[in-house]
Amino acid sequence: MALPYRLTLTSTDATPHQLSFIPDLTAAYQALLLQARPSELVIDVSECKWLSPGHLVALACLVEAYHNKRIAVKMDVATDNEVHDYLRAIHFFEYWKPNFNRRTFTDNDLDTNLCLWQVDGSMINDYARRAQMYFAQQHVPDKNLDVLGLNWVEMFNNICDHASSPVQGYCFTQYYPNRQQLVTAVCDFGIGIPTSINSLWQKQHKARLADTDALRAALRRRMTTQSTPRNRGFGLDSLTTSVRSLGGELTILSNFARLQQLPDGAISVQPTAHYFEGTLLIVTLNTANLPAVEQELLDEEFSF
Amino acid sequence: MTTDSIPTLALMSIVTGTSTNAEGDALHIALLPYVQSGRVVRLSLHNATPMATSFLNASFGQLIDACGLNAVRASIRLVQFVPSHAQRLKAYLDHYLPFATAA
Repeated sequence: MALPYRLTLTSTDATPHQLSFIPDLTAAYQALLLQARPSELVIDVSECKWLSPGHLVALACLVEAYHNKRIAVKMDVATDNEVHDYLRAIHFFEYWKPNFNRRTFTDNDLDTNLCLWQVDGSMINDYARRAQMYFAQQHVPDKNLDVLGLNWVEMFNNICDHASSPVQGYCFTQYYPNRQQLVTAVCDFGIGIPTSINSLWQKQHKARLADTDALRAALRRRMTTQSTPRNRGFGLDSLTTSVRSLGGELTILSNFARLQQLPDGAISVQPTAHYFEGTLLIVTLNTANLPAVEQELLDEEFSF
Repeated sequence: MTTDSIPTLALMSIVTGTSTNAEGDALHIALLPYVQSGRVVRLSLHNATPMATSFLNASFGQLIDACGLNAVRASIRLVQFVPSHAQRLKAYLDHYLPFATAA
């Protein structure tokens, strides 16, 4: 007899990069792969003090996975819980109701974030444009947010071109005024970057790389899995370069590896004890480091 | 405002965004006749959105593969641009190597 799966989320450390309950989310996803699937998913956030953008997008992917299998998802929460209030404010509970469009802009009650948004090829330009306009108008009117827009697009293209995800990915951007940080998280439950790299390696009759080495290799310029004919292996390189140029931070969690690029550009890749289905990308930019708005040069001509 | 006979193509009249391969393909098709025949063309980046690598690969990357880097450099001039867009395009061309299988 199928039983409910209870996912208890706990977190204490209020930093945008903390990913403490990701292993529990992964375990809840893997329960879907068992022969005896859960009868429902019950998510308990009553002990959860903080929900980072990375948690939110991974949680959205998990709910999407259960929704796709027609398994009910319930939130077991205390009504005075801050995380519950946050989820309600961003309309998280509405997303999987009938006729709700998860692939378009959703207004919410907080003015420090751009809504949770399901990633697919048709939303890339719209999200980048809206998000740039929104944060420019609301929070950083004198800053050039092109880099932010490019980062979003590179991350979305990464999902659309490479992930082969059975679950549509999700993205979310949160502004933290006190920290002067813009944090974007994008998640999919696809095959993951190391698996993708190793599939290419296998085709080329090369020895399999450890997930940490494969993830590091994926950042190399011109490293491409050729998942579309036009790919040249510049996307992740572009992402890391632009984040580094602004002193930002990048975290990539994929399969058994976690990569961290620090504000000084140093990159470390660590093995993880828990497998992560797919890829979670988190970019943190300090808004003070963003360049000023540029004026269009109307009377100049640029030759290469 | 230029009054010579060099034609000007407006990027944002050709594409609705600058994110994807498909949008890059559209720009590639628009520019190809000029680069192939060695004619100079101005490309206006007025109100252009930031150009993602997928877009650049399918537009400028394909042009380089088809016609060579020197032909692309000689044919295309940018007008109505913000400096960072021109720099990004220049950096893309400077670092581009003809497509080959991943290392």
